[in-house]
Amino acid sequence: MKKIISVILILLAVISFAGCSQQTSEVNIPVKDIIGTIQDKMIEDAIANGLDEEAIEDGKLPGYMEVDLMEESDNVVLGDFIKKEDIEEGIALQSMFNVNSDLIIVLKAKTETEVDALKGKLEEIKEMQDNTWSSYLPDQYEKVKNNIIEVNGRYLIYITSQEPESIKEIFDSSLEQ
Amino acid sequence: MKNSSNKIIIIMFIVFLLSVNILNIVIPDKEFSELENRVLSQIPKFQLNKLLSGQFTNKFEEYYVDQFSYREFWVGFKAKVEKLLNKTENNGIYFGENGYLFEDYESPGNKIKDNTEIINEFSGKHPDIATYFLLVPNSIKIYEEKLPLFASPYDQLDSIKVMKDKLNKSVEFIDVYETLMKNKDEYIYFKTDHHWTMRGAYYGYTALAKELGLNYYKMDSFNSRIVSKNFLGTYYSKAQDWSISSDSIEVFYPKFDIQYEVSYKDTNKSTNSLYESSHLEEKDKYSYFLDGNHALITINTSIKNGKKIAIFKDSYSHSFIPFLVNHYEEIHVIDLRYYNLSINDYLEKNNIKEVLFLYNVSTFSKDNNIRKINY
Repeated sequence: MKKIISVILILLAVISFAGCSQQTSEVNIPVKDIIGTIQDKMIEDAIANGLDEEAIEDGKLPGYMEVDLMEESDNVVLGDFIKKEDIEEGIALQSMFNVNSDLIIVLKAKTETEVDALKGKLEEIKEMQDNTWSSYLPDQYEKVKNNIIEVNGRYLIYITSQEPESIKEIFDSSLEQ
Repeated sequence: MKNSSNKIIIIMFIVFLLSVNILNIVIPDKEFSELENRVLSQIPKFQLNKLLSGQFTNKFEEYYVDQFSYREFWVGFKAKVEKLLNKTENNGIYFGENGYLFEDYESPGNKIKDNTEIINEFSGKHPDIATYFLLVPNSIKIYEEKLPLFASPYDQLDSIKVMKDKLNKSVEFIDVYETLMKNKDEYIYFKTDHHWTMRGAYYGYTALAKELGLNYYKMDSFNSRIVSKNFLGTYYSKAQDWSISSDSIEVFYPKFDIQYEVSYKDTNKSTNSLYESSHLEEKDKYSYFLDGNHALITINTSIKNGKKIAIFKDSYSHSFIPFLVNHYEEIHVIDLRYYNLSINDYLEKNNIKEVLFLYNVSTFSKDNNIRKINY
């Protein structure tokens, strides 16, 4: 009896160690692709909510723009938080001019060491959005309150959107290799 | 005998526990609290991973609190009891004299200096554009004598002074503090909301007009009308004392002949009125002025004097613009909080040579979006 138990325990220990040692191979997906997939999903949702399909040009959501955080001139407010020295890639998706709190940011940190600091910066952005939206427009503020910040390896995502969960799922599944 | 009285107590207790829960289940969930002006939490979807991460339980707790039966009654009851116990503040709102509510104003730190630098940079980059800045104090400064005892907000005059001192001479600073103080006996700020009234905005307009040498319209050039007597503003929602009486909204319509074409560029709507009366039926009645918050509005008037101005603003401008609009052919109203395209391009494309910044002290002390003007 004792033997059986000890064998089982050893097996369990081996299996659990094996679980730990399983090497996650370095995922390498361009941020642009992740944002692209997210945008496709948002377009799909918008069409389901009555957006005219004609309004979509080259797979871009009308009224939204992609901000490349690696380009100096493109990042006005976000650039104050996210420094391009800390990231390998970074794209934000936001509305051009609309009273709309939607904001999606996908970052790839240069190295593991920057990840925590970048997460902190994303939290500061959340605080800023909180400031902008808390006094007016409860429906937009609701999106900010349901904001999700996620880290996956060297990738980070910031989601303020009507359906943050489904965007997070896209992010996670894009990085599952 | 003892046994039966125990039974009664037990039964009463069970009935109480059950009835609260049954009420919570039976009374349908609400989506939105009008009084508090916020979206209420809804029942979360069950997912095993969320239960394990604790997210589900947190969301469920929020849901339970938000949908508790007769919640608004209890919230108001709590505020009322606290007030009876001499609590002078709730959720950052002071209970002032005569039904005035005030939002606390905290030290802006370096924000005023930083934002002023950004304005200076803008003016430096555009020497051909005449730039004006109108910084409006909030009710907490103008009516500070109505604050409860021991309330000590940061002095807004200090913030105004910092801005004045820092601002380059190339930017015209319009000081409205004195003008508002002189007219404080009139109804120039809402008691339950963070905005000035249209009457307050009129005095702001006269201060600007004098500074710019505009021949401003006297108050008797307008018909004034009360469009609502039951406006309960943002302070009211935060303070949660539902017994505070409501504000009324006074609007000034010109007696002289003028037509407007108003385009809300972000929602592609056009109209020929500066007001949207549908908002008078809603909670947020201040949106009557220029339909509330928009990223970009253009107004064309029947005055063919060729004058154009761009206004970068917060919502204090909404009741102010109906006065200023009578002096320009074209007005471009941009809210930097929501406008994310290049301002340089916009000003150039529309050949704009006059720019007005209009902010209230409280917003300007926290704003993170002004830097967009230099892009």
